[in-house]
Amino acid sequence: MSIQLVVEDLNASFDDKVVLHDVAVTAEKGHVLALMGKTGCGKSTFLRVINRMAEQRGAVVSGRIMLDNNSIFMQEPNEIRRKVGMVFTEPVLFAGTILRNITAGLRLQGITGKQALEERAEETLRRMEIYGEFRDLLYTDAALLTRAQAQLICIARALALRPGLLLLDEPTRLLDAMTSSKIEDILFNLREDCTMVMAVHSPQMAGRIAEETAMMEDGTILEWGRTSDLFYHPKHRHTEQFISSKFA
Amino acid sequence: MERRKALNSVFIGAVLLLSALALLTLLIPLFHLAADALTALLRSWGVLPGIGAVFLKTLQLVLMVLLMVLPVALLITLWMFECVKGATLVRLQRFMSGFSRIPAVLLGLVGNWLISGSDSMHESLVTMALLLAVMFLPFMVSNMDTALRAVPEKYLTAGEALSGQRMAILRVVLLPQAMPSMARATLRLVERILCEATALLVLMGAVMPNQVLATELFRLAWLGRKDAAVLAFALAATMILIRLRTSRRWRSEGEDSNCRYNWW
Amino acid sequence: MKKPAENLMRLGAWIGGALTVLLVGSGVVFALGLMLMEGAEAGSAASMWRLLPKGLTMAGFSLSTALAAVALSFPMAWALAALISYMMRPRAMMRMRSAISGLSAIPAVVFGYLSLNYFVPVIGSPWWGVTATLMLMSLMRQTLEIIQVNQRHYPAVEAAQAMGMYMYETILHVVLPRARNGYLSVALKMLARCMAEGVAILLVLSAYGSGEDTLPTALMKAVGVTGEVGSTRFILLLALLLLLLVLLTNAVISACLEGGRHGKKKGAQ
Repeated sequence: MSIQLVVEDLNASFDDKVVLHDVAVTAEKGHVLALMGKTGCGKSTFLRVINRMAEQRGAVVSGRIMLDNNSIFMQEPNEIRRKVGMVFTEPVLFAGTILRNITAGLRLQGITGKQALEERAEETLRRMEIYGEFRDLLYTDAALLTRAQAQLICIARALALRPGLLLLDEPTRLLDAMTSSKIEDILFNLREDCTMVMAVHSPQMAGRIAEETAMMEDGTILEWGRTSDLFYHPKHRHTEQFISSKFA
Repeated sequence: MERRKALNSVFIGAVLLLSALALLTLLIPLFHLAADALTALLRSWGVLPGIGAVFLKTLQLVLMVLLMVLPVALLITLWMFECVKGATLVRLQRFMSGFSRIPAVLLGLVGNWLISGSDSMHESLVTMALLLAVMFLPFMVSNMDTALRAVPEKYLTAGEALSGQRMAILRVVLLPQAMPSMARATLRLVERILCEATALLVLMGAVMPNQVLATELFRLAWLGRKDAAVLAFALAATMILIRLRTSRRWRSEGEDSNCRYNWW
Repeated sequence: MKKPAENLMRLGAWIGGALTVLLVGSGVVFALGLMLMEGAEAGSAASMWRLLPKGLTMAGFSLSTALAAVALSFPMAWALAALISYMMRPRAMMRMRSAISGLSAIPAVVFGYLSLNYFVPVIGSPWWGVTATLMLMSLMRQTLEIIQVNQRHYPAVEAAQAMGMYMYETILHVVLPRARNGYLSVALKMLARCMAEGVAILLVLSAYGSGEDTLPTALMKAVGVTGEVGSTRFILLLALLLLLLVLLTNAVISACLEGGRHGKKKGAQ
């Protein structure tokens, strides 16, 4: 079941350096919210604040972050991460087989039954419509995968926990265009089961799969709204420049 | 230019000569050892059961030491990884690596003094295993600690994102990632156990017959026995094989790291 | 021209090492004093001071043979390492390195056996016999460690090659200045190892029967490994002298490494 994310008056700082300032966005259930902005504008930090990983790195966070009307600050970080999955830019595969990688989150939470793990892995791969590609490879060493396959498995690993919210930090930045397109299709088809907040490295990606888009700069939201409105009627000059890529 | 070229040729000639000398200095005695071992074996196959018994005892010693060292070293490593930070950690790491520089003869001496009241303990396998366990525990902790800290931060981050508890992340993510390095460290530990003769001899306070490989070789060589060659060759071959197993990773490094000069 | 700050840091490192030795030395003197205050062993009138010259002679034998062994083996090890690092194709380098690694794993007791059977019959002097044994033991280990040192400086060697330098020029003007401390620490580590070697040297010295001993072999004999048992005070004296020697060498190694680190920082600036 997908989760609604509401963020209001969010501020975050590391060692007295403000990295997020008065951030306010909403990701509706079953929608994809894209975060755009230049490198270092705070997209990744924002994602890490939602699943409370930034605090573990020393960030001081204030504001309201609600998951289905429950504040994240009233819940244990591990509880939140059971509902909120995360996919990173660089695919990080653990030692072991592909099956062990997909079920790593389940094993971390104490689910160890072989049949249960296999069933969940199969279900996840079918949801992503990639079961055929990996059916015969489940027991092979994950280190043999290509980068593209590795990222697909990382997404499967996050989805195996059936999160209501999925955070994606530029998941296709290191991949080629064809693989990026494939991943975009997968994510687009999964959005009804799982709200997504995705930091994107290109506005085109936001245009293709996101219902809402937020433009970030220097740790703050310049503007956010429906993707079509942002792209065709941007209110801010930086937004217009970013979308038309006038920064060469 | 010609002078530089000539000097370079002289230099390369000297390098080749010294290299050949280095290799021959070691390989010629090894070749003779192999020949002597074969001769001794052909003369009397009866040495094999004796050597087999010693091999078995050595294997027992190795297993006992591993059983004592590995779990304790792992626990200490995890404790250091989770609970020890800053200057204390640095001091602890330095102590662990510095302890291995204490000569084995001194550690054997301490062991000898501690069991001086009991004659039976001097040649007991358990006592030997305990001494070696104490000797090599810091070495193993140091290696395991290095292996665990060498795992990139991104694996820990990915594990945290999957809502794992800290210990679960260590167990499911970090330890498997560090396992190849830890396995290599364990093989290095096995090498050191097999090689250790000085500490064991000092612990025993005498040269006891039919103990482990290294001390038995010392005894046979001390007595001037011909079958010592068989044991020496067997021990050397075992160590070389174990080391070749642990050096396989270099096979993948060779392509990237090479700065070759022409020989002329 | 070296900056005063760097000289000061080097001096600090050396002073640190010297202080360590002094502190340990005071500990030794204190321990010796304690031993002198103990009651004499039954039937033995030997006092620590009468045993000290004998102990120091053995320490001198340990140190001199180890120094000679390292001095003789280092150039050969360096040449072999240079051949592997700079003159072999990648595949050959990998195979050679594996082989050297394998050979360096041979235990000391096997080297003692090799020396007993193949060197002692042709070398008449116990000092040279021990030196040859230690040389044999340290050859391959040094080669392996020198290869690791050389690999760290491959980028600089590449740059030198791009400038058209011949191999000897690269070694003299590029590698040696940068890798000097690395080589020194390899040699010093091997020195410490050679001084602490017991079983191989015991085998070799037994063949000569000359009565000369290194500290570890004397300790092993005194404990009763070869049948003769020495007095407790003698054993303690030998143990303390050996520990002192090893600590001294380690202090020098640390100072050398410290100097290397500061040199690297200077280069980075």
